[in-house]
Amino acid sequence: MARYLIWRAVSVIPTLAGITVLVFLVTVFIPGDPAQVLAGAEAPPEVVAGLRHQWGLDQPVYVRYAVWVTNIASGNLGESYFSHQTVLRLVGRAFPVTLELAVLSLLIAILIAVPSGIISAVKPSSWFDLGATAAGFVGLSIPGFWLGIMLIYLFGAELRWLPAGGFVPLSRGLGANLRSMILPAIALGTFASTQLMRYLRAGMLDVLNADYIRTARAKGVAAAAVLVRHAMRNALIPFMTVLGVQMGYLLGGTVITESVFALPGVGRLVLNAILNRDYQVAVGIILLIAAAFVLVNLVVDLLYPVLDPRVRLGQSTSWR
Amino acid sequence: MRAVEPRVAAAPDPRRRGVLMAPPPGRPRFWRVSRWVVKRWTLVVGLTVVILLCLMALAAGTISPFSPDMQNMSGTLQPPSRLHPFGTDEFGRDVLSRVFFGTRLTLLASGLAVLLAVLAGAAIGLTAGYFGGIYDAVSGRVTDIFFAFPVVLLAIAFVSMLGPGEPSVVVAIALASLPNFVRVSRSAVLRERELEYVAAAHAAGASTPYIIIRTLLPNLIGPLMVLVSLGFAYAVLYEAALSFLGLGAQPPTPEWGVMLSSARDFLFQSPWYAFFPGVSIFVLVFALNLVGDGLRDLLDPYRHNR
Repeated sequence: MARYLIWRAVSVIPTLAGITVLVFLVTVFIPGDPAQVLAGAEAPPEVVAGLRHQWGLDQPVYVRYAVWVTNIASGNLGESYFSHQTVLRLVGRAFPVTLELAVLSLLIAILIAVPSGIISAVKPSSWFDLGATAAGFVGLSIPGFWLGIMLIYLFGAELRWLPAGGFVPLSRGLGANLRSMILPAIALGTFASTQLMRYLRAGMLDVLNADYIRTARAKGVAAAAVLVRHAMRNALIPFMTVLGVQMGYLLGGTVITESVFALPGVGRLVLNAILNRDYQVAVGIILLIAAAFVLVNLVVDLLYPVLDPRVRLGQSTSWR
Repeated sequence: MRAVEPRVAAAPDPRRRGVLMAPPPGRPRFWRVSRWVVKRWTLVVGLTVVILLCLMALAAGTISPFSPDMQNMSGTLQPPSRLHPFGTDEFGRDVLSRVFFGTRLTLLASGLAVLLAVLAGAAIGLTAGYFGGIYDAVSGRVTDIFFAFPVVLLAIAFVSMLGPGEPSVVVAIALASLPNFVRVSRSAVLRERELEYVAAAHAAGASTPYIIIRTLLPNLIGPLMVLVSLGFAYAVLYEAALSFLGLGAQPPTPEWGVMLSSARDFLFQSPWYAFFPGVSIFVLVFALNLVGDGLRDLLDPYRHNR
């Protein structure tokens, strides 16, 4: 058991290292010489050469990579060319918005997916199941950003129930904050909900066909108890992994949603950075989000044994 | 994620070959075919829509009522009318014609991305599964790394190197979809490698490339076809989204994401301008998802009801 945990934790290291290499390569291949950019196009070659030397840009690539990684390890992700604020500061300010959006979207996705997935699995091929599958197909195919635009039009302009965009911070009241976040969360959560529903339905179907469920029913355990205590407990374990993956996608999907709804989150920060050619910020955020994605999946995997005693005891898990 | 798999003995599997063209025998042809069509309606409907959209892209020049670039500043942001069934945009251009032309770029860019992903993915997966060892471990790690980047961020990374435009978008989508293709082809090879017909080919003196290409690859066609149609749907969604964000196609190109991005600024004056390009994306993605799901049912009857 301990060996599994350690092995899983260690297996993250090559992935993280690969991510840093990839992101570093991006910085190397960005067109234009940063020294020339900062010194100005008119600067004499000696000045540019001096700057290059000062920043170590004249060193071989692997030396520059080592320096770059050391900087990152000490929390120095660089600073914006324009505002001269550090990347960490910018991200620190924007991250709560993105986290709130991702968590709310996940909540909406779960609220839709769990009941509909379970009912579909309990009564497969029923009208509800067919309807849910069809709705899932539609949700899977709707472009999130278009759904967002249409929601803005419907609720912001036509019905005037909710603000059409912009962010109200939590400090101005929970109600106002949620009103500004509900449409973005729906636009982002719809796609995730269809994925979660499919997984949960398939998982529940598999579990409900298992022998131990038949045994429980034969013993006369109440239907609801079989469903909740026997079936759901098992079906929800693989579901947790999917949840982790979806959380990672939601963090990435916020780029699009935040742009549609004009929310000042990390996604909009990185998008504006790249459109303004503020490469340091863009690269720093890409690195942070990719690392966060890997770590979220690691945490989910490490939680696995907590949720599933069979893994904890090192028994066969081939049923998965 | 699937639980108990039905354990099928390692016998030649009749499901593998010829299923696409095999209606149930023993009835007049018309009834056999129509029963097949009804049973596989997702596949039939999806394929029909996809083919229609492809024809629309090819014929965009002849079926468009106007040139996609023809401006008319006296008739901007008009609602749908008989002359302009989808209305006009902020420069008075005909939205219907621009939607027709938009099909081209979307199909081309997403198709190219999927093609790159499936070629590279199958090549890596086949060889990794067949040779195993260090090569397998390294290729697995490397594709895992691309898995860690949400596709939007990959696109942003490529935009920073290549600048905004469709090439960055195509490469980003291809790389983001690569891991799926690698995994599916690798696991298929791991499953097939141990079967007798591969050993037989080996014993008959077949070379390694021959075994990989002529005996293993055909088994991959089914699963890869499913993955290609689902990956295509995903590619269309992201191609449009990235163009919407300003990372892909640039105005004044007639492209669905670009159109939506401009339409957003006029949402309250003319919502239909934002409506039609989005519906087009939805229809294409929906049809591709139907095809993928239909193919999956076709190739794996056991999966029925899952």
